[in-house]
Amino acid sequence: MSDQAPTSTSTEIARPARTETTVRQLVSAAAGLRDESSLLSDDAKDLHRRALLHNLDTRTAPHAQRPVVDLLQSLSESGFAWSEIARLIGVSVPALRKWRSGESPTGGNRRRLAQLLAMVDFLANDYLVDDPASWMDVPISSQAPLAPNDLYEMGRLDLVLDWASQRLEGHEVLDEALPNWRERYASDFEVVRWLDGQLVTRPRER
Amino acid sequence: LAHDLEFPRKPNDLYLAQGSEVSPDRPLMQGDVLDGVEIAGLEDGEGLGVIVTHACSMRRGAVLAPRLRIARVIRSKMLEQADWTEGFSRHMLLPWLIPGNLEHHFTASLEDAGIVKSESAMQLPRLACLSPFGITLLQQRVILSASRHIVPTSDLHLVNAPVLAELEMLEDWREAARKNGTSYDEAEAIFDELMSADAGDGSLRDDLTEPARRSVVRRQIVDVRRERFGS
Repeated sequence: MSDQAPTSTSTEIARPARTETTVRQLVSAAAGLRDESSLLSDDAKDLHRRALLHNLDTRTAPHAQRPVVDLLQSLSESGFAWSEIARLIGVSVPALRKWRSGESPTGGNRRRLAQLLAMVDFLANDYLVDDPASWMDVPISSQAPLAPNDLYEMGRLDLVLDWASQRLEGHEVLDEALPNWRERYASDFEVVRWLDGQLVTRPRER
Repeated sequence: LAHDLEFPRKPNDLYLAQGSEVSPDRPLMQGDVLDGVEIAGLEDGEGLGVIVTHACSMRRGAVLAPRLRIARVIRSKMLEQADWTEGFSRHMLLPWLIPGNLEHHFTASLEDAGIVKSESAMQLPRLACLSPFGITLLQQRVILSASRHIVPTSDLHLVNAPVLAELEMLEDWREAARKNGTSYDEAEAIFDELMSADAGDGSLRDDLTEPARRSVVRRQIVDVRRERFGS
């Protein structure tokens, strides 16, 4: 025993140096893997979004060949309000009224109308959204009034599709769309249903 | 920030329609700018006025309230963004009111307001209708003027949304009725009956308070409208 003890002590003294090296190497390797996977994840997200938007473009083309009156009628029958269609494609309500009466929109506006209809198809057929016009109007988080139609108006069609596919949490969608959304929509007021059945704004209870 | 007074960045943010683009089928609404208004109590004759009665108090069901509150609109100096956020706390700003004339600006003095009979207001020419955001800007300034509270427009819009959704459906309904030769009064009465009917689980009007139900109501109304008026 007495002969073995120094040997054992000698071995134990040497061990921490090797362990430290091994742990450092492990941390370094793990950090490298994490960075690589993060980059890969970002690349994959970017590629997936570009593929989705390409798919949306492909679906837009056939609609763009239809008469504008038909496009407007299809959107209306989907449940969109005229003011909502106008907002989503970036024109005035009177402009829409003129198109409904037979005036021609510019090529860009015709394409934007067709793209909105393609989005409705996409949501209904690929993501099984039961009622796309309603879904577009429902806030993404209880902490802000932003809905998919607001993302669409901002031009973040990729986020609309990501939200529909449930690949992101609501707060992640909003963080990407509007990083300051928490401050922007912080309010001392709340909207509640009052005794008469109508909605009212009142100071939030602290 | 949410607690600042807000402002429009361009005419389309503030106005839904101006001049000849205002649809005659659109029912009167808060934020409509009328010409030739005589306001009780002001004794300044006829002039421009903006309806300040809250959107949710404009109608009893689908039928216009008998009296409206209207504020006098007058010409103003050139209005800039800082005027929205730092001054004019008792005014609603109406820049670019006259289409094609970006130099002419107007303001509504929210203290110079009074009652006008709806039947008179309905006969007056409309210069402009505010957009949904424009209506919330007006409401924000009315509330500030009356109570010194600043309520974010996003909260105000949530309250207005069901009423504005119904208004838009009523506008389409009136247009279809007019083309069909039915009077506005008769058309509104039918529309109101439809929106108010309660089949046991609430009315269509109740459904409009739920964002997820609005498109369902729109589709139902479109179906009935086509069946009844053919368009």
